[in-house]
Amino acid sequence: MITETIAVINGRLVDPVRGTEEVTNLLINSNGIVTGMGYLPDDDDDTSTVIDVKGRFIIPNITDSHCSLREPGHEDKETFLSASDAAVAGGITALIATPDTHPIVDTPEMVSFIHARRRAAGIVPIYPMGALSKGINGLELAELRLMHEAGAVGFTDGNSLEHTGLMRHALQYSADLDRPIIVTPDDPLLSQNGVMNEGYYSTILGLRGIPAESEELRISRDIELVERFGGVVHFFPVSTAQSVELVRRAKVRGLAITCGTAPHYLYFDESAVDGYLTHFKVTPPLRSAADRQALIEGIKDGTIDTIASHHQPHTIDGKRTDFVEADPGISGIDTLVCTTLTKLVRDEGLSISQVSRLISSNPLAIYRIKRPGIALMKRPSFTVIDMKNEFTLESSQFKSKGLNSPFIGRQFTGKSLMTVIEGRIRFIDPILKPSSVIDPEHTPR
Amino acid sequence: MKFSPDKSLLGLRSFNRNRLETILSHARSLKQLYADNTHTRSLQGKTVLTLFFEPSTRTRVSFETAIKRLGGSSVGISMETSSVKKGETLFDTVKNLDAMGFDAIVVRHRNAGVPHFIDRILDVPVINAGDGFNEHPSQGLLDIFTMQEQRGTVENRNVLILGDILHSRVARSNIWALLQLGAKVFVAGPPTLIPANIADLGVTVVHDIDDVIPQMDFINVLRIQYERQDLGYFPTIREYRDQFGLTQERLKDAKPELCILHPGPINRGIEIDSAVADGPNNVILNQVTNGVIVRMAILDLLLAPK
Repeated sequence: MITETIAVINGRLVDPVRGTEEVTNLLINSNGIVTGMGYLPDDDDDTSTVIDVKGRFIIPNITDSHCSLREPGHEDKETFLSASDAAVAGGITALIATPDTHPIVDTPEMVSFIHARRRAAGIVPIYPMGALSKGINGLELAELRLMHEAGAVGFTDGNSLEHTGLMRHALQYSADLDRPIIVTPDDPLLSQNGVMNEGYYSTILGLRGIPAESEELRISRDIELVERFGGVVHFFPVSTAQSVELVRRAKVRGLAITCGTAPHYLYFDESAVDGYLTHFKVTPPLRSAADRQALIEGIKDGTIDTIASHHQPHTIDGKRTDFVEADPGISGIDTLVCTTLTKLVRDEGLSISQVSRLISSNPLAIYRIKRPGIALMKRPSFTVIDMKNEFTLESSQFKSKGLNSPFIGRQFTGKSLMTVIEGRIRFIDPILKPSSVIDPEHTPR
Repeated sequence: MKFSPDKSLLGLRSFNRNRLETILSHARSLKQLYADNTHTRSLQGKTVLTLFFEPSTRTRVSFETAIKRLGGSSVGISMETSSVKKGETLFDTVKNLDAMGFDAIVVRHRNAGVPHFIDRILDVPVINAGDGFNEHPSQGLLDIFTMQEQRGTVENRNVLILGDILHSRVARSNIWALLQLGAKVFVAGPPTLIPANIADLGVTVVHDIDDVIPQMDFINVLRIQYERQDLGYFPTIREYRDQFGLTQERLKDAKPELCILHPGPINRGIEIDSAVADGPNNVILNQVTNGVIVRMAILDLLLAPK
């Protein structure tokens, strides 16, 4: 751990909100506070460590906004510590955690417990969501206001509420808390026991299908409820073309509706399931090629606000079985940043600032989380990213306990070389050799 | 004369015409040998595990008979006596059984893809005896063997597969192989039991079977499971039978040489009437007899020392 003053020089600083990039230097003092930007220190400054990140991007506040962290209750699958290690190595400076632990996070005491646990461990910031209903039973509202006061940043039962009347009450009740209700839209009576997208591939593989409508009908319903009864809804993850279109129209109507998706929906479609490899079992399921393309279009036109990993780590046994029995989900904290940047910047040609918004400023805005940007007298959180070199993702690189990833063995760019959280370097790749010598030839003044 | 570089028989979807004909012609020669009372003992010294996670009478007995006729021995376990109920993972169950040293595993499971999973984790050949509603390749082969035996070829013949297509592994194995062999395939059943995008496979979906029965050379009647009506796929057995039940009345304009197949077990008076199941056009027991022969051919091709 470097505790003295550092100078991070020659980085391309990305401002996701303004959509700009500029080459600059950052001086961070031993208290983690930015004391200088844009200029080089004079010789008599006490800078003791210089890190030259020329050609690399600096993105502030990368946040994984949808993670199942398993602690407490399933520490065999993940702990705050292992998730934190995965986050910093993967370039993530904060995690937003779902309440699906054991016990469930459905009381202010549980919210406080997570905050205390995180502080004691001294790890990456973890922002908990609270359950929408008690015990995620879908019948009675949990203590939304008290959880909010204890620091819950949003509320979710995971899947959308079966009980339309309770969803109405949840929206009305939470409206003045100004916190989102996060909905994973699915009608279980339509998806029945489906394990993949319904269509040609479910037919030829003999697997039960989940129709796109089981997601879209719930999005339609909840949009109508928001329009009538107020409240704020964030749909995550959306996986179909019609889901994107429904949110697009809701935004035109000016409703408090946002949505996000996960990297795997941008890489794979239902054809990946052919072969029954369990790493491709996710909920919602991988959809058609046209749906995948519609998600990318939705990102380009701003309909899709966030990309989060939908992190669902499993032990080896969860996936080392047949497709029907396998646990759904992907371990994604390690790979959120590189998979997102590779697909959207390298393959789809979006600007790095536009893509950064999906994983930094947009999730922070949706969850109303205030974190300082990279500014004078602030303790910044940022990631240094290399977009030039490609690397092959190996399972040995994973810090998460969950190795359930279809991305292992694939080529990516967008490797995180340094992760700074609240002014402290939490991860640095050996390729960045800190030195105490500044070469003026290569440094903007 | 192995029919592929694959060690296992998981399904017919990946089989081209040549590979299908290899098995079918091998089965024909075995049937002739058997008629001549000449026995091959190609599985002598080999032990095959029949691992049935789902109840079965004829398929399991058929495989075990085939193994014995080839001079091999079989060990069978069924779900009821297995340790699956004790919470053991499928991986551990299969690995433990494999450690006892079988030469091949015949497996049936209610989930599609289980044979594929076992094939990935074991080195021995795996023969799919039915996985969920994916495939039942030996049934598909014995159906076609029977059709060819009756009518010489299936090429350009019209085949109607009738009933619960959605939940039928027999339908899928039939469709893949029949299309490769040049048959014209029609499927019919309640709209709720016709799977999504089935026409993309190259079959014709029929809504009124009375329109097409006169053109058919073969009708493969699938078993209707009672519990489907509880799940709302169709209202009552009576209503199903009214629209899709194969009755004597429906066959009045059928070709005289029409062959009626059924993979069994039959629900008499539901998907097929006794008069039809026992009538002159039925080849149902020929299927059962041929089932042993076709499974001998499969085992011989996969396991016999070459």
